[in-house]
Amino acid sequence: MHWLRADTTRREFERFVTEQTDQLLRTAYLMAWDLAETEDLVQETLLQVARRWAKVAAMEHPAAYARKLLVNLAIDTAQKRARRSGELTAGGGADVTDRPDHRAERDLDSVDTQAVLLDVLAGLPARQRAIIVLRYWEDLPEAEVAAILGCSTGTVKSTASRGLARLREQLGHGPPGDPALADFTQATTDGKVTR
Amino acid sequence: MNTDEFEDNLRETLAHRAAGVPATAGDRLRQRTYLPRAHGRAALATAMTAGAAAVAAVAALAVTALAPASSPASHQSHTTQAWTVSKESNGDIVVLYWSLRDPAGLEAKLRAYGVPSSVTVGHINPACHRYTGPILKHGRMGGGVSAPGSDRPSRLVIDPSDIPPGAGLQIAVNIPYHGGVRGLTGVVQATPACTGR
Repeated sequence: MHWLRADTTRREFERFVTEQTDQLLRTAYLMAWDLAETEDLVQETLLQVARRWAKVAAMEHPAAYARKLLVNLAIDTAQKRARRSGELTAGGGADVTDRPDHRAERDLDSVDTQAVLLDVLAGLPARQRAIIVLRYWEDLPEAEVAAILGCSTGTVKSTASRGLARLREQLGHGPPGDPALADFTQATTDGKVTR
Repeated sequence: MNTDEFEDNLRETLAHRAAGVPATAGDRLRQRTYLPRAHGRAALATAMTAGAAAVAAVAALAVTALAPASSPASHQSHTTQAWTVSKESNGDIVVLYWSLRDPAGLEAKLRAYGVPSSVTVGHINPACHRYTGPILKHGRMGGGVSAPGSDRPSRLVIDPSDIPPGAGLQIAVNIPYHGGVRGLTGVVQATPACTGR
């Protein structure tokens, strides 16, 4: 009987792994910016979910729980690494320089804007990048991003605003004070970003 | 560039970057053995957690682990220049290897010791599939990989009683991995094409 139950549990979890792994990998890659670390993050996430599967399986959205684990794991890992290496004070682009992903870079050679955006994204602090990824890749509302990160909606808004301002500044389309940037920042702060 | 254009660009950039994850990454993660804790049965949960520890210990034999063995095993030893396999008095099979130039020989030796095995170098045996049955749980399986260039051997301890009936052991080393190599071990379904029986 125990084995029967274990088999059912295992099958349910395997279905979860099958269905969610690719999306977790993509999110992790945008968070970690490094393929090897991406796999490690997703593997650790799946192991943590497995250890708590009895509770996770009963949740309304097990995938959202896994994503929350992953995002916070990625931020913790990046912050620990940053403390060790001092990379947060090294400025933008350090990640790309330190751990080049030549295949992705080659694909993007002809896309200047994307290349610039990628370079700046890579240099954003982990938490700031997480918010950008959750808002503009996962398309989550600010309240949900705040719940994932355990912070206030206001913090999400202000952090996203700073990250976006930095991206735009580097693109040369809106230094601080530029009317277009001000408009964008205000829209973001109000949570009324037009899609 | 207005706000909408900028946001669209940002989304496209993120999507492009996310698409850079190779499919093999997902395949590798799906192939690994995770042991979900079962609903509300402490005894079962304990057993499965111990089983998870056993498998995780074996899976931890990625080349990033640096734990060289201190001395060769002493009982019933079969020695070549590349590796030794010995059976300890408690039944454990101990593999020490300096290199895996002869994976087929090691595979045959392990099989001769009663461990259904697949040993490959540079690739994962495509005939092997993850074992999905109940995992046993003595937890002595494990080991460490010596540092590159070290004259000390890497060590792998196999507790045959941790390998369930119908399962076998897969050992794959020097798997290309993001510009480097990794080792991979795990419990797989025993089949003639994978583990010999």
